[in-house]
Amino acid sequence: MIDETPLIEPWLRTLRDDVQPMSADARGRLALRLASASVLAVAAPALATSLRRGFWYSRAFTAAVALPLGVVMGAAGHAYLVTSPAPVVKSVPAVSPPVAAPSAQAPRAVVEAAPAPPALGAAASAAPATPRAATAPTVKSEATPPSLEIELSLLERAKSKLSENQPQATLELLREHRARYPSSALQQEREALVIRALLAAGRRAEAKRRAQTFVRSYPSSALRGSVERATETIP
Amino acid sequence: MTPHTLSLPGRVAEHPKAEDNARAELQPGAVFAEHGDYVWNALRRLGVPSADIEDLTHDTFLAVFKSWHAYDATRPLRPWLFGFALRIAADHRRLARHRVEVSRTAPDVADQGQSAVDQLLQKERERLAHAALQAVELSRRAVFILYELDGATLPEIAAALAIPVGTASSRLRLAREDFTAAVKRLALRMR
Repeated sequence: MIDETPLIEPWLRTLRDDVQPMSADARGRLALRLASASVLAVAAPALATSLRRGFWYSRAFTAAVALPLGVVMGAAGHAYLVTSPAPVVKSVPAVSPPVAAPSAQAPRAVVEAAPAPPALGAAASAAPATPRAATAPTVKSEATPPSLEIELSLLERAKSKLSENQPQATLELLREHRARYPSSALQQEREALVIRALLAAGRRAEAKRRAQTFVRSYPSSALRGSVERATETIP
Repeated sequence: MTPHTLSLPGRVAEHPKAEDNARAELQPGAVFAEHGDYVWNALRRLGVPSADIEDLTHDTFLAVFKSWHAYDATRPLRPWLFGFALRIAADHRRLARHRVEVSRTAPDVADQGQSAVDQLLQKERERLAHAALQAVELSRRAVFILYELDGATLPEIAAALAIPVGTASSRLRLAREDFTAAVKRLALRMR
């Protein structure tokens, strides 16, 4: 048999080298959706706990996701990312204050930035602080992504109201979420909660309609099964 | 504890009792941060249309998280993740409306100091190589990707895809035949 290795080897090399990193936007959206899996109990309960208290709110998560999230949330961040060769400095603004002696908060900030895993692509280079970061010490709060926590906690409150059998309160919180984050990466998750709340409120026909819309809008959603099951007995 | 200190399976095997520690250290979020790109590219190589890769990456990790307890830390993580990506991609393809996409978004090759012609050639090479890969039947392609592109061993592949080693080996042989035939076909067309 003829050895075809020399023939295909260059093609294999091309394939091996052709590795595309996902975009920062996609990374941010995915991190948010995966983090929310616990909120909506899509994941197994034991895991949900670990998702909640684990990595998602940790410093490494911040380093990995804070910037991509900024990109999702704001066009200005996006422009900055696209044009800047070292965009990540924005996510760790407090790393090196302009004053020679580090302030009280500075060492903490360094610790936050340091554990960024090396395999993160662009976001990973958050760790080495550049002097340019020091020019914007006032935006220190950006070191954690408050919008992520607010957005998730809003959904979480909505869900806990639902488990307390207060569907009205749930729906109000979800309306608020919709108003604040109209193009949220968590639209599927929000809509699935709305449907459950409508069911709990006895508004079955409405729930059915929205479930049908849900299936049309997100045919391959991981939440599709639970939405369909919840509404399948409604005529 | 630093959550992202993902214990590499190769190292874990050297330490007795390290398995439990590895499981404890393995944080879902860290796995996404570190291996998100890997899963993304695995789905792409499995022929998932580029518009669907993001959603399927999400579904893959969700499936991974649900089976977290089943991860055997003595085994390499990536082939295990690949097994989930393969199932998700295969399910996705079963829906008739999804078509295998050969063309795809061009990789960002700017900023490499190449001339425009070189970049075009490189893109064309990638497009053709990707097309040759898609010519391999899916279950064979999975073994082929793991072996030829990811450098996994046959026993690792067999474990990750839950198939006998003999099956993995014969799928690899058939995949190489498919791939070689596709390469010849494409090379011929280029003349």
